[in-house]
Amino acid sequence: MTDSQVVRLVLNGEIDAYEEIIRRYQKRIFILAYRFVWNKEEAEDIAQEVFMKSYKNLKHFDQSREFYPWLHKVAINTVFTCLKQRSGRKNEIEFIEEMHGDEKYSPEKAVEQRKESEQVASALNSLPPRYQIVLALREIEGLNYSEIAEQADCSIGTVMSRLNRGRKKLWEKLKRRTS
Amino acid sequence: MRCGKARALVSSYLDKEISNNDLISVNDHLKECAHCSEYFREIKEQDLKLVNLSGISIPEMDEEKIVKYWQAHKALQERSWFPRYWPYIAAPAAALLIFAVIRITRVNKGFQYYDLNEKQAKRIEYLAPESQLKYRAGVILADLRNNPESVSLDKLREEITKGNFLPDIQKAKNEAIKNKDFKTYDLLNKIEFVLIDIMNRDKPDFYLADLVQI
Repeated sequence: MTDSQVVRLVLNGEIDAYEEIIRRYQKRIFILAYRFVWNKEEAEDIAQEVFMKSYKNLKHFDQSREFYPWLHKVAINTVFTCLKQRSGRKNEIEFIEEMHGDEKYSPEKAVEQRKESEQVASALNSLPPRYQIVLALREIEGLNYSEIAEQADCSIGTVMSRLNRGRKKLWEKLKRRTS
Repeated sequence: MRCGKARALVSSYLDKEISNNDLISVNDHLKECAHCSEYFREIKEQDLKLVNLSGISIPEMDEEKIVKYWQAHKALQERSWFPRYWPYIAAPAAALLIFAVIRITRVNKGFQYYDLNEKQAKRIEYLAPESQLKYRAGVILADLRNNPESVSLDKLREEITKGNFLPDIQKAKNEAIKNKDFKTYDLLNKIEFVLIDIMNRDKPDFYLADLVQI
C-alpha cells in the first residue's frame, strides 16, 4: 500500500492505518532528529511529537504530492522549535556529556575522531537554530538550496545568506576552541 | 574582488551554486590572497567534518515507544467525545450558562415578576425582596378586592406556583431573621400561611378574608 493510500484511509476515518505511517518512517525521523539534538531521548520525543503533529494536520496535506517530504518538513519545524526552546539552556559541557552517554561512541572508536566529532557537533549545536538548521540540512542531510528553502520555509536567498553566516560562525567557534 | 565580497561567496562557491562570472572572480582572488585562500580551505575542511557527522552511528531507538504512545492517544480520542464535539456543545452550553446566571440572579433578588405587568415589574425592580413580596401580595389582594369573581381559585394557585411565591417567601423570611427584622418576618409568615391555605383549602371566602386582614 502506498503512502497516499494509507493517508486516504486515515482521512476516511480508519485511523488505525496511521500506525503504518509511524512504522514506516519513525526510524528516519528519529535519525533526522538525532542529528540535530544528538541525544537519544530527545530525538525520540521529537519523533513522537512529529507523528502527533502530522496526524493532527493530515487534512492539510496535499495528496497530489509525496508524503515523506511533507513529514520531513513537519519534523524540521518540530526540531527548530525544540532547538529554539533549548538554545542557551544547555551548555557545551552538558552536551558533550550527553554524547558520551550515547552508544555511538564505543570504546573501539578512535579517540581523536571522537573528540573531533564532538567538538564539531557541539559547536554546531551552539549556533542559533536558524543557522544550525540550514547547515545540518545542507551538510548532514545533503539537501540542495531549493530543498532547504522548501523545508525551512524561506527563500533561496535567505538559505544562501544563512549558510554563509552559519559557516562563518561555526568556523569562528571552532577556531576559538582550537586556539 | 575584495576579501569581503569573496568571503561572502564562500557558501555558493563551495556548494557550486555560483555564477560563472563570480566563480572566475573568486578563483582570481584566491590566487592572489593567501588569507582568503586559507579561509576557503578551512571552511571546506569544516564542511567535511560536518558531512562526517552523518556517518556516525546512531543509537537504536525504541521502536515500540512511538507506536504505543500513538495507540494510547488514539484510545483516548475514541473514548473522549468532548474534544471532537466541543464546538457543537460550547455555544448552547454558554447560552444555558448565561440563562442560568440571569435566572439565579433574579431568583436571588427574591422575586419573580413575570406575572406582573411590565409597569408593575419595573416599579418594584429596585425594591428590597421583602418589599417586592409585599407589593406582589398587594396586587393579588387588589385583584381579589376589586373583582373577586374574576379570580378563580385555580388561577390563583397557578399564579402562586408560577410566581415561585412560597420559596421566595421562605428566602425572605430567612433574610429577615438574619437581619433580626421580626416585624417583616411576622408579616411574611402570615402571607405564607395564607398562601399555603390557598394552595390546600377549597374555601375562597376564607382565604379572601385572611388576605384582606393582612
